[in-house]
Amino acid sequence: MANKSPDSFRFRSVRSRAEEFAATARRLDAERAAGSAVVDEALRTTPQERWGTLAEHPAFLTSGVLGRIAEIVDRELNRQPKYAEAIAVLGASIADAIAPDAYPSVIVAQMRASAWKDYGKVLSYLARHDEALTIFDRAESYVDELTYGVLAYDRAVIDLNRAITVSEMGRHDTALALLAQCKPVFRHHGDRNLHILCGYYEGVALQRLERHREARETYLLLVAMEDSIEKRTLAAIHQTIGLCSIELRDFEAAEDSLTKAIGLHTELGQPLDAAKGEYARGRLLLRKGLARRAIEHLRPVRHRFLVHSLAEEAGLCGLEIVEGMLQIGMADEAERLARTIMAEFMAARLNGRAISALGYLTEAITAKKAQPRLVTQVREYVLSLRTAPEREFQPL
Amino acid sequence: MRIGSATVARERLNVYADNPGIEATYKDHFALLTEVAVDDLHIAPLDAEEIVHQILLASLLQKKRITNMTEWLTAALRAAAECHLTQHGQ
Repeated sequence: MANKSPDSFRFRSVRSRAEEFAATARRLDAERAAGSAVVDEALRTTPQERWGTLAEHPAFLTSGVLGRIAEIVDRELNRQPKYAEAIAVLGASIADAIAPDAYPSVIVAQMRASAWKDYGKVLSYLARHDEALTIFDRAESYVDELTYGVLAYDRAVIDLNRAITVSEMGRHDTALALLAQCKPVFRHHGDRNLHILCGYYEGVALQRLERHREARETYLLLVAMEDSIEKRTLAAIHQTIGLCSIELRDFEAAEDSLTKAIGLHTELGQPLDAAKGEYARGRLLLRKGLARRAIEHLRPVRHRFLVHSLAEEAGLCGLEIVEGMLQIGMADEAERLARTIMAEFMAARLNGRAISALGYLTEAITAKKAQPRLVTQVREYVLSLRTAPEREFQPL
Repeated sequence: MRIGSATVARERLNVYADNPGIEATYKDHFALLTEVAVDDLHIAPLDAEEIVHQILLASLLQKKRITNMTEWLTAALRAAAECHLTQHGQ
């Protein structure tokens, strides 16, 4: 059906098209209403290792079931990503098992593209980036199979996910090119949420390319649309504007943005995100040359991360303190803290490369050869391992 | 139904979701969007009819995400027309 020749439908009457449209609309509504009950019951009563058999059951081969599965994937992605993966695999299997003529071909293409896109999104979240890109190719192939290019919006959604993935892989220029393609599609279709999300990821890519001024401009344009942005997103944007402003040494703007971010995070009941804002404020004090105040400010912030077992965040925060200590000649304290951070990383079984880099830093401090900028380098290296876990540490 | 321009056509589009007279609403949208496709976007009439039909169908599955049906349908039509004309070397 997907490759149906244009000639086969050239002489359809408006009436027959209207009947097909109305029947499809009513069917999708009915399936949507039934989807939750079908899926929730089956997942509750079927062991996970047998979920694959659900795709063989006729009651599962509906748009409503796929819609419910998409909701569960979205909900569980941040809570239980491995569970989300299993659900997404089920969704992709169901989409493929639906007969090509079960719905109008454009609807079948949309369902398949969306289910495979969701699977790719989960893989991307699990940092299985190459696999995710292969899956996005597959999702896009369903859109491409149609005779007419009527699914520009669906394609843009896939491209946005692809952009986020390649950005995580460090291919920021490719990410920016993809975002430049899909952003206007969302704008024209009136989807402000995804339009704003494109802008946010443009800012992220620019920041990672250390193009802080452009990144900040991008974020500021988003803030101008404040009324359309969820508070949670707005808080994240203010925080990133603060971080860019620190890099640009625009300390007044940085303080202003971080105050807004911390206020919003606190209002939203997000204490750890507020703590990350305080951490950025500590870095601001350090960049302003106020090392003692920075150390005093960052100690309780680091403690807050440790209480919540966020060893990496606590370590990164601790490295800011180490840098401050080296700036004011507290080498012994800096060495002790660096060793403590290394022990915390080992206890939390964090990336061995991060532990090696911390070991190098500690030895350099002991040998009185460590400059504050070596601490910055180690901190940035540890941070970079989140997106490039195999990256080698190359000391100054 | 004959109308003069895409602007007028866009103003006539309404959200058809949950409309009890869905077939009649479909026919209105179909006529208006086909008019835009043929007159403004220079698509051959038979191709225009099929493109518009597919776009209207595609909108059904995106119902939850669409906040402004007029904007969404016209954007989808323009993107499809651009793709179609590129494929046909125009």
